[in-house]
Amino acid sequence: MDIYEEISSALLTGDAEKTDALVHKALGQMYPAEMILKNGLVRGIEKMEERFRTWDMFVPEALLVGRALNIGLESLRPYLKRREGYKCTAILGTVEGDYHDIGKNLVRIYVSTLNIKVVDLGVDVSKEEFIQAIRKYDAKLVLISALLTTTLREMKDVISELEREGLRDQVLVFVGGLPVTQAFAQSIGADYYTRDAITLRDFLDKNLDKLLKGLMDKKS
Amino acid sequence: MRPELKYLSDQELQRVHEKALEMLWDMGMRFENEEAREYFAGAGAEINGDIVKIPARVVEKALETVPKRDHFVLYGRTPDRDVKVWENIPSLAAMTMATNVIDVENGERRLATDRDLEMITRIMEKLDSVTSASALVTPQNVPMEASDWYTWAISIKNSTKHITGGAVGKEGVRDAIKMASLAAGSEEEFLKRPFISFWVLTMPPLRVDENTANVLMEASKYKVPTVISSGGILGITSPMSVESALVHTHAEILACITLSQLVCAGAPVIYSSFVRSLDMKTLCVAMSSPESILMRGCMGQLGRYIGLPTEMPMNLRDGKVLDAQAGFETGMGGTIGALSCDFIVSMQLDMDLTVDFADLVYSDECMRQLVRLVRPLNFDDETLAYDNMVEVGHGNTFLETDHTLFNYQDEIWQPKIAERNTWEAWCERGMKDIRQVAYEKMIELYHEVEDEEILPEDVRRAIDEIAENSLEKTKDIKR
Repeated sequence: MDIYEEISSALLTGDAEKTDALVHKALGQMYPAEMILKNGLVRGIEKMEERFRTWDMFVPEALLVGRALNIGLESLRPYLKRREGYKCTAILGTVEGDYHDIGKNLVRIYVSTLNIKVVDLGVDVSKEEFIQAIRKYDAKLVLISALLTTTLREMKDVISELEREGLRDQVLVFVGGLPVTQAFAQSIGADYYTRDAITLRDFLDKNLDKLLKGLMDKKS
Repeated sequence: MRPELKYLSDQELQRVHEKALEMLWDMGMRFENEEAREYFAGAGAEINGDIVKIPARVVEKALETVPKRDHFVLYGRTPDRDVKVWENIPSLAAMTMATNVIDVENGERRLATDRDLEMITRIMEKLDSVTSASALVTPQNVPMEASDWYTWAISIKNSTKHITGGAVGKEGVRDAIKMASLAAGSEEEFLKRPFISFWVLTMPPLRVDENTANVLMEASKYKVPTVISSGGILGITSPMSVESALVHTHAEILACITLSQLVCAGAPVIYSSFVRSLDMKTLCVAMSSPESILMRGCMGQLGRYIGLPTEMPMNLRDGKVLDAQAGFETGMGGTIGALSCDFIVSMQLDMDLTVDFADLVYSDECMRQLVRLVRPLNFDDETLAYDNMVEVGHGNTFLETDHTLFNYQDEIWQPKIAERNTWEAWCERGMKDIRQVAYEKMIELYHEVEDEEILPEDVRRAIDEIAENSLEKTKDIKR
């Protein structure tokens, strides 16, 4: 087993200590940080995503993996090359009344691998907090997550608040989370829905420039 | 006596209750509503920010004044619909707030409309085991901010039974009371026999928000019943243990009962709990998991322990359609419910999101069986039938004796839709499963009540006006 495989296996078992130790070991052996991220951590997460997608994984198990990933990423971060300027800022958060962050954290991790600055507002985020952050960071993307069927409606409230505040045309709203569907996303006036973090990353990777241009055109 | 299920021994009941009292004093409850905190402060509770620490004696005093189940009447609009809880006959209470129905004509799942709610309520009017005909669905084609108002209007216009519903703020409570008073003839008449009640749902763990407290206080002021529920979710809003969930759930209900009695001693309360588990792979709430059912069985016992009528969501099935899964869930939850509580919250599928019209008839059939199942045994001369034994003697048949002819209808439960014939007879009738039979029976009822109005036109119009005028008010209500 090479070091990358060791890292991804340790990550998949949710063993944060071991994952972190292996990341440090790989760095010590002069493996490039980008490769440790891509072939170690991200590969592990991709395997997890597959299990998650087929409902083969318990959420607490996924949370442990998320924790291990965050610790591994923190160790790796100082060694990753600085990127050129960000293309835009994305505001990310789970709606008010909802305290789930596994899916949201995966979104943060994946979207961060693109040239997008991600401002993560955390969980239980009120519509006012979303608006405040959009203004503060001049964000172009708003990524809203909900995991409980009971808090789904909050997503609509955030979008309504954007309209009330005259910000609706200036941002693209992405919604996601387990109970969210394409039809629901449309019904509440969201711009896009993706079923998981990986799909979102792929979509943004392919379409971000076009989307941002569209926003600029709308504005002018 | 009616058979009862005991998950918890007497010592365990006492331990949960005492631990809950300890929690209310030690940790306290978060009441975000200032007026509520003032009531508690006036009674001697310790207030720290929005945390209210309630001494046991304040709770115990409230438990003395709250009306007990041994003389509790859950009123219908008309007296024939009253439920005298002490008679110990469990019945169905319609759950509220599903958003989808299975379309009667094409069988597809779609958003519920006001017409759906109207028809569902009219069908429930015909089903005897349904004693609380609350709005099973919230119409999705009315202004959403005012959906509670529209829901109340439709339910009140189409039912003579008790109705429980949600309200937004004190204004929402008052408007529902106004609508009910129109149907009753006057507010005075309504308040004599309040046939509506309000959901009061805490926000576990240990929190009651502004709006919920307002609803609780306003309803209590009028002595209109509240159905108080705390519904923790294991691992999310409750610790990951059944025992611990029971303690804080009971504590939250006790805190709300206390507030109701501080507002108005003698205000009626029904003890309920939506405590449940979560599927740890899908993160969907599991309304009919074994642990959800057993927790509510325990909660039913706790409600009885403090002497209150109890209403538990025992028949909210996780199954999407009326299949074997939903059937088992109905049986498991229903049996435990019939053995542990007074009202079985019911008639929704798909984890309380979807209503199938056919399920109304199916649920009624199941409930009638459960009522038979838990009917007390009564060893008197008639039931002991010693004379009948002597009359027939050794080795003969009882079929043609008077005792059989007089008693069989009462003794043997008779299905309306369940299959009890031979395979051949079943084939001859088209080999229908129970959903199909229930559906056909429902369709008959559907046509029967299609145009049935039970209130005069001017009353209906006045009720509708309250709903239509509510939209403006909803903007000022803090949620």
